[in-house]
Order: sequence, then structure tokens, then C-alpha cells
Amino acid sequence: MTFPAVKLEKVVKRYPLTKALDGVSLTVDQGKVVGLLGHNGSGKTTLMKIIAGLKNPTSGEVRVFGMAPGVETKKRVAYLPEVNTYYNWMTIDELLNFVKAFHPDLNLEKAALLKTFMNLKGGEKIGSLSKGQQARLKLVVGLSRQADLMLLDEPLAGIDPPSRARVLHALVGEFRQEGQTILISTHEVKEAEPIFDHVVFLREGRKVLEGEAETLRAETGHSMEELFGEVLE
Amino acid sequence: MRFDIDERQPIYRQIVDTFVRQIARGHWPPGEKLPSIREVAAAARVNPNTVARAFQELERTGLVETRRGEGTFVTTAREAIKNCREKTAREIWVDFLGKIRELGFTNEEIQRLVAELKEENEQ
Repeated sequence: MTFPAVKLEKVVKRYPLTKALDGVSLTVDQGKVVGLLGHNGSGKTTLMKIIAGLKNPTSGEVRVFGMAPGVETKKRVAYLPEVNTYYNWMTIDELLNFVKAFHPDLNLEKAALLKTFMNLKGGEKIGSLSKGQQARLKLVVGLSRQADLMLLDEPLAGIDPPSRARVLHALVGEFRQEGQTILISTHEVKEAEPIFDHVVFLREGRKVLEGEAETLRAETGHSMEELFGEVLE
Repeated sequence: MRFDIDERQPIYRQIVDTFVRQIARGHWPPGEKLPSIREVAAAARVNPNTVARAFQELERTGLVETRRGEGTFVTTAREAIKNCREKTAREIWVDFLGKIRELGFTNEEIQRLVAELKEENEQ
């Protein structure tokens, strides 16, 4: 039996003063590209961290490939946080070798192709990179891993608008591992929408709308960008 | 290969329609190999899953056939292409007639208009 890549049942994450997630249920089928859409503070990052096994929910059930998040699921999941967590004194190539020590699934040949695609040089120090180059580097590191589930938190942040479509297309096209499931959180819906199979709209920790992108287009006559405005404003 | 995608309508449908029209007018002749799913996805900047769905739909219409490991080819059954060309033309006419009748045009007026436009076009 094949399990869904992700299955959430009534997941709640409570902080002392707020509820980051307020009963989210969600199923992500394997091989799909799913857009997690919502404004800042809607719970996207919390949701990703829970799936990645970096946070525990206050209540509810989380299954990743049929298992509770833990050592086994972490081998199959790559999570790319929005913030940059790399050491400034390393060069790009040093970083890749460093990451490979923790994640043996990192493919250095694929990393070399991605570096070329992203216009990055292996000998450059991370501290000397621009914000846009750092955003690209993060994608090089994440996409080089042979992960069955890729969690990308705001991957377009810092990428200049003219390159966004090209980068996104590389994500779901030439650099995608066969059968890989990709969950992308973003509020830049316009550039990203043609790559989504499925979309989930989050607002204040709740799921307000979800469905196949093509079905939603047929039923509403709206683009995902328009729906974003309609259900979240 | 160029695609103008309207994100307010199902994308796979627009890819199907583009190929149907191109096959109908002979842009892709019978037996010709179509670009791969990846190539179409790259050109249209859409998810390859969406293109795969469009190709399945095209196959269902009988206009193309997929040979395992070789790719997708335009059918050599000329009858199927001819029928599809007719069907597409009819759809365009039905759409046109609906819009023009909404303006209150009678059949005679429509015929007169078509004749006039044809004359102008030929000049």
C-alpha cells in the first residue's frame, strides 16, 4: 500500500498567546506539487516545521509516508527554511561537503549542475554573497538532496522577480527527482501558480480552501492568484 | 512553440486546444513526433504533470498515439484529423453564432454580413 506523502488530522499548534494552527487536516498525495498559500502569520511555516519533524503539534495526528515524524521520515524529507542558516566563513563548495556529512543523500553532481544553473561559483565565500545569491544557494543545497518530500518555505523570497519563473520551472522540471512530492509555501502566487497541482489556502491557522488547481479554475473561472485575493483578503 | 496560458481556465485544456488546432491545420502532420512532455512543460512554464494530463486527453481523442519509450506521435489516420478539423470549425461557428444572435441578428443579416466581410477581405 502506498501512503500519502503527508497526512494531517486536526493538527493544532498552540503558543502561550496564540494558536498558530487551529485544527488543520490535510492529505498530500505522492508525486504532487502543492502550494501552501497564505499571508505572513497564517501558519505556513509552523505547518512545514511540524511535517519536517522540527516541531510537535499541541494536538492532532501527523503522518509522513505513513510514519510519525522522526529519524526515519527525516531521511526522506528535505526542509528548506526561509531564513538563512549557513556559516558565513564557508565557501559554497565547503558548505556542500559539510551538508553531505549530515545528509549522505546529497548528490554532488546534481549540486554542480544546480550551481551552474543558479550562476554560483563554488569558491565564493557565503558571507560575500548577495541576498539573492544566498536564496539561490539555499535552493542548490535543498534540490541536491535525493529527498522524496521537499518542503520549501518561501523559496522565492530574495529571488529577483524576472528569474522567479525560471527558477520555479527548474524546481518542478529538470531538477526534480522522479516521483518527488514538493510542498511550496508562498504568498507570491502569480509566478508560482502554473506549477501547482494542488493548492491549500491558510488563514489565521485554518484551512479556508483547498483543491486541485485545475478543478478550482474550471469551477470558479478564477486563477489561484485571484482566489488568493478573494479568500484571504 | 509558444503558449499563451490564461490562469483563470484549466491549463491542461488550453494545451489540448493548442495542439488540436495545430494538428487540424497541419502544423504537425500525420505521423509527426510531438515535443516531449518536458519540452512542452518548459515552453509553457507549467508543471509536467499538467502536460502529461493534456497528452492523455489528446490520446483519448485519437489524434495522437504514444509509443512506449519513443514518444507521442500524430495519428496517421487522416480521417481522425479531418473529423477533428470539422469538429473544431463547428465549435468556432457555434460560439460565433451564439454571440452574434445575442446582438439580435437574424439569419439573413448574418448571411449578408458574412458576404460583405468576405468581399472586404478579398479586396
